[in-house]
Order: sequence, then C-alpha cells, then structure tokens
Amino acid sequence: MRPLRALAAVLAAFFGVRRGRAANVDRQLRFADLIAAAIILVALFVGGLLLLVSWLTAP
Amino acid sequence: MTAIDSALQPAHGTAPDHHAKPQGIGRWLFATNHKDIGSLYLWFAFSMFIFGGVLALCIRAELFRPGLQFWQPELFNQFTTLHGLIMVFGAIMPAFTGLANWMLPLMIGAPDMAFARMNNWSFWLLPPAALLLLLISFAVPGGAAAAGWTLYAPLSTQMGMGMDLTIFAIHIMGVSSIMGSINIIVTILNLRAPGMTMMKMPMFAWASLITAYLIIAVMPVLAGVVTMVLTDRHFGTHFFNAAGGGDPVLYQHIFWFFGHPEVYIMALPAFGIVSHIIPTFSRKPLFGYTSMVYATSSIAILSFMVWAHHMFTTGMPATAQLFFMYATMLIAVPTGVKVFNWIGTMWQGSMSFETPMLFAIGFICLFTVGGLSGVTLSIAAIDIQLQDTYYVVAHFHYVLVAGALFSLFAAVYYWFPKMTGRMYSEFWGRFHFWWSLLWFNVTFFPMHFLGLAGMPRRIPDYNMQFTDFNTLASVGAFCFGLGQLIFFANMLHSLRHGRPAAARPWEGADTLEWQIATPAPYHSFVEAPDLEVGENGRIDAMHGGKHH
Repeated sequence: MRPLRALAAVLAAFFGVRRGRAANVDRQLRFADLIAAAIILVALFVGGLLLLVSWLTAP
Repeated sequence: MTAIDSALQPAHGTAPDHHAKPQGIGRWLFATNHKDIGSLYLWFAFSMFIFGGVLALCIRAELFRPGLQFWQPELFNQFTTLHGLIMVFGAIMPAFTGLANWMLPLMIGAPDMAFARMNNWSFWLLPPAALLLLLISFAVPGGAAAAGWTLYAPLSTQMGMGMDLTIFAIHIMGVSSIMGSINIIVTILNLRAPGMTMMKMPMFAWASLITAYLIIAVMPVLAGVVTMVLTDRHFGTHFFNAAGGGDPVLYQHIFWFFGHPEVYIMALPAFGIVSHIIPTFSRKPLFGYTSMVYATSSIAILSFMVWAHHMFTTGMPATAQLFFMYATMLIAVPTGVKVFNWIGTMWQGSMSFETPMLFAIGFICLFTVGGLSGVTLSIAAIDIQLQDTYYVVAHFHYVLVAGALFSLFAAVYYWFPKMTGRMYSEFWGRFHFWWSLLWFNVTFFPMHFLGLAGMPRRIPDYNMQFTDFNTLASVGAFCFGLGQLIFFANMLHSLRHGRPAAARPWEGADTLEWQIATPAPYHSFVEAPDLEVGENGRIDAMHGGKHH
C-alpha cells in the first residue's frame, strides 16, 4: 500500500492541492518511496504528453 | 550530539569574547553573522537595482522619441544587455538571498547560517563580479557585452573582450549563488529548532529551500554554456559555429534549460514572502498551507520541462512545439492554486492595509496579469507572432517587477522593524506603493499594445506609429524611477529617526521572528528554543532559547 500512497502524494503535488488529513498520512512515507514515485510519474507525464502530441500531429 | 548542539559549540581556539559585536570595517569585511551578511546582500542588491534602473532610464530616454537621440545603437544594445544581467544576477537574486540570510535563522530558530564563513565568501564574490560587469566592461575596447541578457550565439562568439568579462562575472556570480544555496539548504535541513518540523515550517523557508535546489540544479548549466562560448571564442571549438559543424540553436536549448527555472528562482521566494504578509494583515492562518507547499514543489518540477517555449521560432517540429506548449500551460494550474489560496486567506479576514499588505496585494494583481500574458505566449501559434516584440517585454516585467520587486519591497517594509528596531514612515511607504503602482502600469501596460502592433524589442529607433505609447512608457519609467528615491529616503530617515518598534509591531504576525526582541539580538537563538508550532511556522508556545 505504501508505494500507492507515495504515488497519490506525488500526483497531488503535480496538481498542487492536498487535503490536510492526507498530508498527515504522507508524512509517514519513506523518502525513497517518494523519489521512486516521482521518477515514475514524471516519466509517465512526459511520455503521456509525447503520446498525445504525436497522436495530434500524426498525418 | 544533535546538529543544533554541534552548531552551538564554540569553534576551536575561539576567544571568550567571540560573541561580542565586531566594530568598524572589519565587521563587514570579515562578517560571519547572518544578519550582517543579510544586510550586506540587501544594500548590494539595492545599489545594483539603482545601477540597473539608471541603465533602464538610458534605454527609455532614447526611446522617448523615434530617431537616434542620445546613444549609438551599439551602446544601446550594451545598455539592454547589462540592464537585464544586473537586475537578474545583481539585484533580484542577491536581494532574496539577503532576506533568506536575515530571516531564515530567525524563522526556524537557528543560531546562524550553517556555514558562516562560506556565507561571507558567497557575498564578497559579488562586488568584484559587479565591477567586472559595470565599470570595467564598459571601459574595454568594444565596450560591454551587447548580445542581450541571453548572450545568444553567434553574437556572443563574435564580440570584444567585454563578453569575456561578462562570462567571467557570470561564473563568479554563479559560484556565489551556489554557495548561498548550499548554506540555505543545510541550514533548513539541519538547524531547525525542536518542534519546527518540515510540514510546519514557514512558507518562506519552504520557498527558499526549493529555490536553493533549483539554483544548484541550473547554475552549473549556465556556467557550462558560457564556458562553451568562451572556448568557441578563444580555443578553437565549434559548439555553436555552424561552419565548423556546430549549432547555434544548441546554445538556446542549454541556456533556456537554465533560463526557465531561473524565472522561478526569482518568483518562488516572492510567493513565500507573500504567504506570510497576506495572513498577517488578514489576521487569519494561510489558507491551504499543505497545498501551497505541494504547489511550490510542483512549479519547481514543471519548470524543468518547459524551456523550449522560449524558442518556438527556431524551427522546431510541431510535435515539440505542442509538447512545450501543453507543459507550459500546465504550470498555470499550481500557480492558480496559489493565487486562489492567497485570496482564500483574505476572504472574510480582518484586513488592514499597511504598506507591506499593499505591496503584497499589488503583487497578486499584477503578477496575475503577467501570468495571463504568459499563458497567452505559451500558445505556439501566438508566440510565433509575438516573439521578440514588446509584448514579451511587457510580460516579463509584469512577472519580475510586479512579482519579484513588489514582493521585495513588501518584505523590506514587513521586516524593517525587526531588522532595525524602528518603524518606517507609513505615509511615505503607502505613497511609495501607490506611486509605484501607477507609474509601473503607465510604463509597462502600453508595451502590450506596442508588441501586438509589432514593435521589436532591443532597438534604439522605431517607426513613427509607435511614438505615443513609447513616449508614455518613457514618462512612466522616469516617474517610477523617481519613486524609488522616496523609498530610499524613507529607509534612510527611518533608520535613524523612525519611532521605536515593538517586538511584534504587526498584530497578526505569529512566526518565530516576532517572538524575540526588536531589533533582533545580534546573536539570536544561541540556545535553541523548544517550540510548539502550527502550520506556516505559527508559534503556539516557545520555551527556552537564549540570545545575546
């Protein structure tokens, strides 16, 4: 469950909004989990954007 | 031994009077006290602001009427280049570092910055760099750098030795910024008083921490690219020379990989400052503190993915244009979160409008205008029309003058009582705000129209149809500049003759720096206090803590 919570925390950080209650839970997360989640989600974000713009510009 | 305990141990061979207040010029030359170094940074930044402002007025004097009045085009280009470099590296960045030096230890309960001697070196590297840029480079054959603050190749690979001096100055200022950032990061991570946890830390500390990471990430990139220019100029490389197999567009990619996060290096500390002033004068806690922290992190991460929106006209494939366009637009989301949170903080607050609050509200309104024109420019199809026009000049001055500068004024007025023990003149403070607000808009708002009508930036002459708005902008610029002398006079007079300030002159101020005497003792928190802290650094209770 912890990796999923880390993913949720990083996703919330992407948006910039987080409930105070959820943020209290985030404080118990391990730093390594957060870094791993951030790297995965940034890669997915860039990959997703690339897929989107490739699809839009496809002949 | 905790980090705080070890920080409080006297250095080897320290004399018993180590903590006495030093006197004379040595106090400043050999300064290791964070307050002294903070003051040095702030005075340096203000003097650079005046120099950069005089260069801006030289530009506006030339543009008052069409035709060449005062300066030859080459000198005009030197003015625009040095104005940008000095304002970015000499005024705004050192001013935020100065505020961080002054206030961070007080806000988190640290005895000083973590590396006090490195702190001294960080500051004293700046004056030689400023001398290289300002005095020496104008005097050398060929004059100062004239390639714009971006120093694009191939212009920068062709100029006289003024460019070499500029490159050297950038290296020195980069080293200074990196050392300052290391100090900020280590201080925040290791020297917080017990009870001051990360997710309760003041927003200014969060903003300074994230900004410091950004600086460490991107200043070496700038140093690298200007070194590549240097080797192209003198050592036979062809990084940016198409004839030798290089590519001038490579310069732009590397520069803007530094340049866009640099925008946030100048904006995030402003967000931090405003996140204290708005709650103080609304007499309410900051709305959505956690969101503010997350939004700041989000902005910092996204700032690395948008650099090529500065280069839409270089002939990028449509796929790349769309990628950078969408990524840029997404930054508006966390920035919008912040603006909504500031408004949410003011909502139903018991607001009062002292000078810091006026500047903070002015910041929100005008920064939002700059943000909106930024979103407009992020649309590749529009940007291609507006690239290198005065619309861009208007946009980034709304972001940097109304954003960074207004927040700096807000911060200086807000913390002036704590720094000096005296109150500034509220009348002249408010006058300074309304004067600046009026003439700032008179100067820069017409530039939107000039840009939309097609007036290019960085030209000393223009077509007749642009005359009216240019004349208006020049009058506005001179009046705006005059207003800053009011600020200077107010500060100088209040330093000596202002009425004594209370320990907590602002009713709603609840962070740690307001819990100690005014002016702040020369050696504050030599023994760390035990704190009970709420969000945004709100102090619920403080036990212990010694100063002398």
